[in-house]
Parts: sequence; C-alpha cells; structure tokens
Amino acid sequence: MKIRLITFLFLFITSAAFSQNTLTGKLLDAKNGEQLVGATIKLYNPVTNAITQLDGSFKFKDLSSGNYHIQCAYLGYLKLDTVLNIGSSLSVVFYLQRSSTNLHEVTIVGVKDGSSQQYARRAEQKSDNVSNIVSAKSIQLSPDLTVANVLQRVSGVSIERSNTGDGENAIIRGMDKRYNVTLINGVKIPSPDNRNRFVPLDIFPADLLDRLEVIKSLTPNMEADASGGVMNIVMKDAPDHLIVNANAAAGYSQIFLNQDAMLFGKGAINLQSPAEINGEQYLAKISDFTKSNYRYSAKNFPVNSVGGFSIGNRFLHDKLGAIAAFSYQNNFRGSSSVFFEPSTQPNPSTDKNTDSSPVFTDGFFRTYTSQQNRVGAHLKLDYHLSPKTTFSLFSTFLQLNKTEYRHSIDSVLAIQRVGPGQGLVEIADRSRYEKQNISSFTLQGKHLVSQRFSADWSAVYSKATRKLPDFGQLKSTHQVGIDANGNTYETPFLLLSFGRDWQHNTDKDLAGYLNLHYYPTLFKQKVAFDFGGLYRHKNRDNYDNKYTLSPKSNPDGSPQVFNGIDQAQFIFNPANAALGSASSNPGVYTFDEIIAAGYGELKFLILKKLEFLGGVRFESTAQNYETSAPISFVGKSGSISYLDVLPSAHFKYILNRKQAVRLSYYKSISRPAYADIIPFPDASTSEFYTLNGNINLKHTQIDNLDFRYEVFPGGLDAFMVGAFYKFLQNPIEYALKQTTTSGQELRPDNFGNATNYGVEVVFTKYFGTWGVSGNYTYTHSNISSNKGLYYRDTNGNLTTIYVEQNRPLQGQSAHIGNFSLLYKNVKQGIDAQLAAVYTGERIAQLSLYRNLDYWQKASTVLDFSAEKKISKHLKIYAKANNLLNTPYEVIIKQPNRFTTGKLALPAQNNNSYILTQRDLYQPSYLLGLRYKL
Amino acid sequence: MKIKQLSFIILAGSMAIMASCSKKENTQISTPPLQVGQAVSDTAPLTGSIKGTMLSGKTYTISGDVTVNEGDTLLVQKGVKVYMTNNADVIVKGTLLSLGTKEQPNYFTVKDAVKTNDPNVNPDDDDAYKGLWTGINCDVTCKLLVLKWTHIEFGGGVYTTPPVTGTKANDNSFVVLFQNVDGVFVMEDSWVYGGIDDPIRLKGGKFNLMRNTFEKCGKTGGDVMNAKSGSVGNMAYNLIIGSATTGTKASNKGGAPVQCNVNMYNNTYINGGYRRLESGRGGSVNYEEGSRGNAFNNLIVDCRFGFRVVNDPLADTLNLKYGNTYNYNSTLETANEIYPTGYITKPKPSDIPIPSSFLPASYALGDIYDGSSVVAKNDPKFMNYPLPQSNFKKISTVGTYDFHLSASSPCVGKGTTTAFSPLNVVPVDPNYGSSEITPPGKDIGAFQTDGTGNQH
Repeated sequence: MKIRLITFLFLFITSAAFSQNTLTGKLLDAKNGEQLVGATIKLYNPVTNAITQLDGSFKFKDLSSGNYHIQCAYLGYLKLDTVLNIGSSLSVVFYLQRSSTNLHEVTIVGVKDGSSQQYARRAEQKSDNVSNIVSAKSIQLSPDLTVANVLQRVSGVSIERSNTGDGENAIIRGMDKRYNVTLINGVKIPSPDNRNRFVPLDIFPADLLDRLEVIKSLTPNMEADASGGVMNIVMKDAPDHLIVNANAAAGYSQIFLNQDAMLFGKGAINLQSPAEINGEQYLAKISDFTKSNYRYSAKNFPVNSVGGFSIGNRFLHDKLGAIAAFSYQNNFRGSSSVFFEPSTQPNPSTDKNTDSSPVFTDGFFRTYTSQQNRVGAHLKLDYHLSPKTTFSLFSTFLQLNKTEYRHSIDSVLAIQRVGPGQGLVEIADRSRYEKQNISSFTLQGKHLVSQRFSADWSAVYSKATRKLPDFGQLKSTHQVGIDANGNTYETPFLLLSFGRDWQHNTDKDLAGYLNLHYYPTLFKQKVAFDFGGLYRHKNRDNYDNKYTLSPKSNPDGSPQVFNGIDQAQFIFNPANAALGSASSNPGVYTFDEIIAAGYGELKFLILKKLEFLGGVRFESTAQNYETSAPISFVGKSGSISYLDVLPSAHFKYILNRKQAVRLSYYKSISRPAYADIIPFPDASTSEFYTLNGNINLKHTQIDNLDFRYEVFPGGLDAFMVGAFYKFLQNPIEYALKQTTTSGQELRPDNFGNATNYGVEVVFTKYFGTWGVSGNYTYTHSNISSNKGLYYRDTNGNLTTIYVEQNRPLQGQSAHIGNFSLLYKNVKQGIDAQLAAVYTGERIAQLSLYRNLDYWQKASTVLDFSAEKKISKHLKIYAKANNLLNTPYEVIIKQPNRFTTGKLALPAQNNNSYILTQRDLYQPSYLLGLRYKL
Repeated sequence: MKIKQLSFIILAGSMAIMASCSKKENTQISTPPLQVGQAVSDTAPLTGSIKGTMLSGKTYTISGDVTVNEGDTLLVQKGVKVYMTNNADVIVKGTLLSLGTKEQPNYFTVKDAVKTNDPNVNPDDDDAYKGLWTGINCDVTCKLLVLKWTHIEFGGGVYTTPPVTGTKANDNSFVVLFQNVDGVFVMEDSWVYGGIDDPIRLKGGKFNLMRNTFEKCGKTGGDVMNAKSGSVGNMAYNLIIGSATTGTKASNKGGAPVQCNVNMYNNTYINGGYRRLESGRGGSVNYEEGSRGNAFNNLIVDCRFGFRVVNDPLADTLNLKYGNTYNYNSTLETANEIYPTGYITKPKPSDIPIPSSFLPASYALGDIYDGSSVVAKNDPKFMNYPLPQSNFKKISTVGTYDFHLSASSPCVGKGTTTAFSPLNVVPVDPNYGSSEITPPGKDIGAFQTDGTGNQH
C-alpha cells in the first residue's frame, strides 16, 4: 500500500511539569475541518492504540518523554505517519487528506458514501437549498423501521399516525401532507393512496435507504408542488468494492399481552367484485360473497420479523456497478381505541356569544390487530461507458399488505340510554385487507460534453396500485336494558345489513426529464446556467363497487338472531341491490394529468462570499377526468388546466468555512389530489367519516420565504437556526360538511388565504462518547374561515348562522421538537440513543361549528435503540418504541358535561375539555443481528 | 235609548229567523279542468324530461327516470294511473301537481305488484318492501309539490343513479323526498303503501301533510313522516299503521337557518315500530334534536314506543307543547314504554290513561316503571278492530278494519281544540295548495265523530 505523508501539523504546547505526559488531540479532515470519528491512532514504542471519539478527540496517558512514531488511519483518507517529540503534556491537531479528491458538483463520475452521517452534514452544508439529511447510518441507529418514523426526527417535521400508531404521513413546517412530495432518487413517484398524491411513508422500509433528504426550499430545477418540503428517498448506490450486508431481527408488540392478535382468512378473498368477474349487469348471488374473511382466530404470541439483505460490487474494470437490496418486514401491530362520534349538529347555545355544545351519538370501543407485511427491493446498475458518459438504471419495488381486523363495540348514546353500561349496543367485526405496491423504473444518462457543458436525462415509468377487496363490516345489535324490577336483561343479537365493498386504484406515470448545464466563465468567474424541463403523463384508474346484503327474515317474518357468520343468512333487498354500485358510480373513474414544465436557472457569485441561485420555472397542468356517473350527474366528467409561473431566488452568504447564512424566496403550488376533485362519497377510507370530492376546488399557490443560519463546527456537530414565512392562496383543507341530509361528510375546500411562519433550531453536539441532538420548530399559521353557530336567537328560534373564525392550519402544531441523547463508544462498538419526539397540540379535524374543532393533544413519544459490535462483521441491535405508551388523544375544547350523571361517558376525566378519541398502542420491541462484510 | 235597544233586538231576531229558514243553495257549475302546457302522450313509455298535463282517465308508463325541469310543471289530473317500471324515479326540479279526487284518485304504482292484507306474509316476500321504483325526488329547486287523493305504492328502491342533491347511488330512496326550505309540499287525503326507508323525508320545506293513510311503510327502518331542519308545517289526521319505525318525527338536524317546527295532532298510530331491528326508538310520535311544535290529540295503539322527546341531542323543549295523548297497549312490553324509558317525555294530566293512575309518585322523567296496571285498559273502541290484539306486531294494513271511533269511544270529546293553532304556512288553494288546513279536532285520533278529519 502506498503511504504518502501529508501533514499539516499544529502543535500547542501546554503545561509540561510532569514526566508522565499526556498526549491529547483531535483528528480532522484536512479540507473542511470535519472531525473524524472512529479513526485509529497508533503510537509506537510501545504500541498503544486509541480510537477517536465522537468529537474527533483522542488521548494517550502516562507517556514518558521521548520521540514517538504516530500513525493515523481512517477509511477513505490517506494515512498520516509522523514523529512527535513529547517532552511534556501536549495537545495536537492532525489533519487527514482524503484519498479521492473531493468532487465538484458537476462531476458525473464518482462514488460518495452517501450513507454516512458525515456525508449528510456535509451535504446539508453544501446544498443549494435549505435541507436536512438523514444518513443511512443514522437510520440504522435510530429506533425506526420505516421512513415515516425516521422523518419525525427531522426538524420541522411531524407525522400523522395510522390507527395502529405507525407514522404514515408527514406534516412539514405545519404544512399538511398535500403540500409535500415524495421522491425516489430524485424522481417523483405515484402514490398507491386512493385519496392523496402524497406517498404514504410507511410503505418504505428504512433499511433500503442510503439517505433521506428533506428539502425545504425549491430551486427552479425542482418540481414546484412542494411547499412544505420534498422528501427525497435516496436508495443505496452501487459501491466501489464488494459489500454484503444482512440483518435479521425479531420483535414483539406488547399490546398482545393484553389483547388477542386476531387474524382472518384472507386467502379466499376475491380480488375482483362479482360485477368485475361476471359483467356489469350481473346480479350477484349471496353465495358470491365468501364468509371466510369474517371468521377470526387468535394467534398466540405473534412475533414480528424484520430482515434485510444487500449486496453490491463493481465489475468490468469498475465500469459497471451494481447493488441489489431486499427488505422484508412482517409486523403485528395492535391498538385499542375509544371514540365518541359527534352528532352532525351540536346542541344549540343560548345566545350568539356562547359556543354550541357538542353532542355524541355513539361511543365506540375498538380493538385493532394489524398485520403489516412489507417487501422492498431495489436494484441499481450504473455503467460508465467512458469517463464522460454514465448510464444508470434504478428499479424499485415496494409492497405493503395490511391485514387489519377491527372489533367495535358501539354503544349508542342518543337512543334510550338510561346510564353507563346500558342501552343499545352494536357489535361489529371489520375485515380490511389492503394491498399497496409501487414499482418504479428509471433510466438515467449523464453526459459530460465538455468541461463547460453537461447534460443529464431520465426516463421514468412507475406504477402504484392499491387494492382493497371485499372490505366489509359484519354487524349485529342488541339491547341491554333494565326491567321494571330493576334487573338487567339483554335481548338477543340481531343481524344487521352487511356492506361489502371493492375498491382499487392504479396510478401510472410516464415521465421524461432533461437538464442541461452550462458553466461558462464570465467576468472572471465561473457561472452555472441550468436549463431543462419535464413532461409527465399521469393516469389514474379508480374503481368502487359496493354491495349491501340485508339480513333475511325468519320464515315467520321475525328478525334473524345473529349466531355467528356461518349461520347468518342474507338476501338482496331490494332485488336490484344485487347489481352493486359500480354501474353508475362517480367512484369509478379515470383521471389523466399532463404536466409539462420548463425552467432556467443561474448560479454565480455576486460577491466573493455571496452566492446567488435563481431563475424561473413554468408548469402547465392539464387534467381530464371521466366517471361512470350518469350524464345527469353534475361533475360526471371534467377538464381543468392552468399554467403557473414560478420565480425563485436563493442567496447563500458564506461567513467562513464553517458558517453560512441563506435567504431564499420561491413560489410553489399544490395541486388537488384526484380524489379531492371527483365527487365520489367514499366511506371506506376514513375510520369515522365519509369523504367526498369537490369539483370546484382550486389549486393552491404559495409564496415562500426562508432564512437560515448554520454552523458546522466539525465532526457530527451542527447548529442551524432558520425562519420561514409562507403565504397561501386557496389553501385546501378537509372540513366536515353538512350534506343536505342529516349526514356529514369530510370534504376538501379552499379557505381564502392563509399565512404560516415559524422558526427552526437544529443542533447536534458531542462530548466525547456522549452527544445530544435535537431540534425545535415553532410554527404559527392563521386562516380565517366560516364556521356555523347554532343558537337560540332573540325571538326564541333555533337558527344556524355562519361567522368568521381564525384558527391555525389543520395539522399544524405550534411547537414540535425532538431530543435525542446519544452514546457512541467506538472502542467498545456501542451506539445507543434515547429519542423523544414532542408534537404540540394541533387541529386534527375541522368542525363545521365555531370553537368545536377537534384538537390532537400534545404528546411526547419516547423510543430507544442500541447496537453493539460483537465481532468484526457482526453487530447486535435492539429497538424499543413507544416506551411511554403515549396515547393519541383528540379533544374538543369545550366544558365537559359528560363526566357525571346520566350523560356520563367513559374516559372523560377532565372538566375543561371533552375527549373524543383515545388510542393506545403499547410499546414494541425488536432484537436483531446485523452483518456487514 | 230603549228604542235603540229594542230595534237592535228585533233586527237580530229577524236575521236569525231568516237564516234558519233559508236552505243553503247547492249549485254545481262545471269549470274546465286545470291543464298546464301540452298533454303528455300516453302512447309510449315515458323517460327523460317531462312537463304538461297527464289527462284524466289515462294510464301512463314511466320506463326510465323522468325529470320535471326547473320552471316546468307536470300536472296529473284526477283519475290518472302512472305505472312505474325499471326501478325508475320521478325527479322534480320544477312543480308537480297530482290532483286526484275522492271519487277519482290518482295512482303512482307498479302494475302487477301484489298488495296483501295478510299479516303473516314474510316481509322478505312481500312486494310492499321490495322497492320496485325509486320515488318522487324533489330537488332543492322544486317550488311546489301537491299530492291530493293520490296512491303512492311500492316505492323506496335503491338508487342506481343519484337523482337529486344529497342522494347517493346504492342508497335506499324515499318514497317522497322534499328538500327546498322555501318550497311548498302539500300531501292530503292520499295513501302510501310500502317502502324500504322513510316514505316521506322532508329536508326543509313548508308543508301540510294531512288526512293521509300510511300502510306498511319502511322495511327494517324508516320513519313515516320525517322532517329535518328547515321544515315547517302540520302532520295531522293521518292514520299510520304498521310502520317500521316512528310515525311522525321532527328533528332540527341539518343546519338550515329555519328551525324544524312541526305540529303533530289528531294522528292515529297503530302497531308502529316493530320492523325496526335496532331497539330503542320508533313507534309513534317523536321530537328530537332542536325540533319544536305542538302535539295534541294523538291516539297511539300498541306501538313499540309512546310519545318520545329526546334529551341529548335535546329537543327544543322550551317550544314544545303536547298533551291529550291517548295510549292503548295490549301487552306489558309496550305499556312499559308509554313514556319511553331513557327519554324526557313529560306525562301530562290530559293524557289517557291518566299518568298518576299508574306512575309511581317518585317517577322521574325517563324512569323505568311498571305499566302492568294499564295493560289492555281504556279500549278506544274502534268501529272494527279487536283489542286487545295479539298479532299487533304484524298487522300493518287497514284491510277490513275500521279505525273510525264508535260513538262510545273514550276518545270522543277528549281532544283539545284550543291549546294551539295549526301552522298556516302553505297556501290554501284547490290546485296550488292545501284544500283545507283542518284545525285540531275535539276527538282524539284521525277520525272525528262529526265526520271531519281523515276522509278515508
């Protein structure tokens, strides 16, 4: 091995009164001063080893005076070999030179270890945008199994959880998921979600990632529909040498100590509805509906399993690189939930100045068992045809199958309830089997035409599908009453009608991207011009078909007593109910969208230390949809088009090598999701409400202003403080809307204009083996919209009027924060962290009525993870989630009249607010092994 | 002075004599029957937009959804039969007038569908509950719907196409849906037979639903006349037999600026509430969630629940007046629910049986009580209907029964005629409004011994 000695050696003589001297020092990157962690320092005569700590420091004690031969070695850096004369205690700093030269951004050939924490810090510092980067190493060390859970640790990001407590969607800087975008390797992917463009993040297994980038400001070369942030999921790159990684783990969800893990037979589920199999005019038979998915059995001790494998190498004289990675997770999750369903209309208030008072129709006590089966595969090939031309092929496949059983006890509150434990009770078993997958193929070329001109292009085909076959709920009802003698009686359970619903949707994207880069030298400085554009054709197919099976009466006409699914008998009533709902249903639709975009941007130094990047982007949107609703239906079909002109300007002032200030402005948009527009009442998506579209919905335009000050003192340390301001025209939010019936729906709508501003602080600091890292974001948003007020007017009549109310944006918490305590002992190979996520209160759901919004209570979730090296290639790791068993709670901020008396409801223990929902998930644990060649 | 007084007495007296001597002259002069626009052709089945006049005595077939457009009127003269086929519906965005008469009623019905009075037919096999067409659906633009002496039968099917605002594919239709807060809906002297959900759903409107007969309404749920927020009017002199759930219901749900205000009086409720699967509600009179009104002189026989006032969401009890309710129960099961447990109906001294005769002194609203002392007591003495009745859960048509009161009925003279006045919110007009807004009657129930009230 060629050893070159390149030294920049600085000596600081400290007090030198002892013969037993101490050598302390730091090891830093020669170019950027980054602290190098885990490097080996060898001292000869006698041979003593030290390993640098998290802050790059090392220490040798009890050295007698004399000359010492010292070697510093660190992967990816040239070895340093030097001799020191130690006559007293000494403090030194060594700088190591990288073995490969640090590549300029235009370099198209090269391999960076993007998965390291160091890379992540560096990239944040170098980025043209305001961004946060989470490295694969951080992800590995974190307690998280999916990208969603990783994201919550990024500053300014909070997540929305599913009903089993898993993170699903990201809210970035108070901006709802609709304002955020998910990319894989920089390329936008379609969502399998039936209602959102946003890709649910729980589909991504964390161990496929090289890194996760959260970009919070947009440059003209980026698509303009991300106003909160872009989540770029960067998959592993082909390495420069053989790598083999594997990991396997097993775990347990503690909730199954308290409740059974209930499974149902999903094998017999028809993926297609009877009308799809037999034709649209087919009159379904009761026998077409399988019963086996409504038979349940308890699984003893359900073990969660997680595994991953990746292998990569370089071939053909390093011209061809390949990496393949696989991930498998099979997790059983559970939860228990209490939910009080509000009546569509509250009780009226006594006058205009008092708020209406909430009323509940039902109390639901639910338990969930969810089996989540995730498969992820990623293959990347890159081929360096010549030093100037590279082709890459990425393909990604992701699958998430969720099998969820929900058992509900519905205590009807508004009907003949004399007191707690009494009244009308419905029991419902729901089987939900949902298959989601995404596959994406990207062919990419990079061409360095000359030193001044380069080009890159991508051709992308991707497809996302979701299937929700035979989704239904088997219900029965009975009454618990008290007779005249004061004895409790229960009537037999009577079978109720049984809905069976088939839904599926497919999104296909065909897209081409082209970027041209030109680097002339103008006025004695290098200037970068970028031009390019994209064309994308998106196509969605959506299908919905629902059948309602009615209980068959007994021969004497009396209602059928429910004795289990196998005895249950159904009929179609009326007979044409056997047709299902697909034949003229706005839920059966196709949606085409063509996005054509072009941009020009310019990057140069205005002053020696002031960098400017700016330009303009044009995005044209053309949408067409067609539903199978009848022609008499308003909104049967539609076409929508618009053009947006989106300027942006970014300034970066480099104070010194470690500090910079950024200021940026950009304009962005948010397009309504397909389902936001299509007027299709969908009862299968929300746990609680029917969702509908709004044909009059407009797209949102947002002006964004960002400021950030950052310090990278070196190593893994970092400090950033940022501020942002956003002005939203026509923001879209979901609000409960009274349909003209006595029912209510959640429907998206534009709500005038809104502002959203805030401050973010991010810090990481290591002290030897210990470190702390955290972030805090304060966000303030304001939107004014009309709310109902149901009250008794001065004439004594009850009336509803609409009044303006100011409130924050839905989903926006004023305070969110993360705090992690880190322990990293390189010598013993131990990494551990205790991580807390704080999410301040936020509006979970908008009410139609003034001051009756549903607020998610503030919560702190605590997770722990650790790993220990047990041999050269093997590590053992453990993760524990939700250690505090943090509840998810939703409240209405009104005096609570449900704590005592005849109206008393369970779980109401605070007089100043009304609890409407509480979900508990319990902790879960995972223990595994990780192998790295 | 004396002369003045004397002349006044003479004048008054001679007027009285003249009045008593002269016999009321009975003159009948023919007037041309009302016709609007062109006659509707009866040569081919109808579908699509429709307006003009369906002529007296003719039979029409509707083979696909028909729409009376905004601004248009469809007039159905007396003695017209309209056969509904193919699960079709009638969509009214404009005006629909069906002006049958006692002698020549109109029909919206299904040819060959079987009507039966046999109480033991399984509802699954009864055409009444098969929903053979999808109703008269008035949109938010419908200004006027008048149904007089009209039979509406076998409706309530499942929509394949949502016809008007607020309806969804795959939902059960209502037999008649009205939803214009400013519109007028008059239904008088008519009959509804069968249906799956509510026969009459009012989501706003000024209405007069009077002197009708409802049989077999709702299969496993459905309130016969169900008024929501924005609905104001009378439900009176109706005979409701064998309803799935409630007979007359008012709820201010719906968020309209106008409060739901319904007067329910002089109705006769027989055997209501037994086809509803879920227990706990349904049967006769019901006020809930912010609704107001006056409810007097109602006769409730063997219904699953008596007069129900809901506590949470609270009916507008400040503006709700009721009394003179007559309850008859063949069994203890229903006698225990004269004042339904868990709710807040106030027993009134004017009720029959007198509450103090069977409720304990300690009775609090909604309490469970023992009604055994009033089982099979106070027979209302219908002209022809045996009480106590053992098959009350199944008898859901009038058939050969006669719910007129016999002269010796304890309902006679027990009604109040002064406690309140009817709501006069619809025009009184032979064609474009109500024929007569009958004020409260002195006898409890729909049929008055003086021949007024329900004319069936």
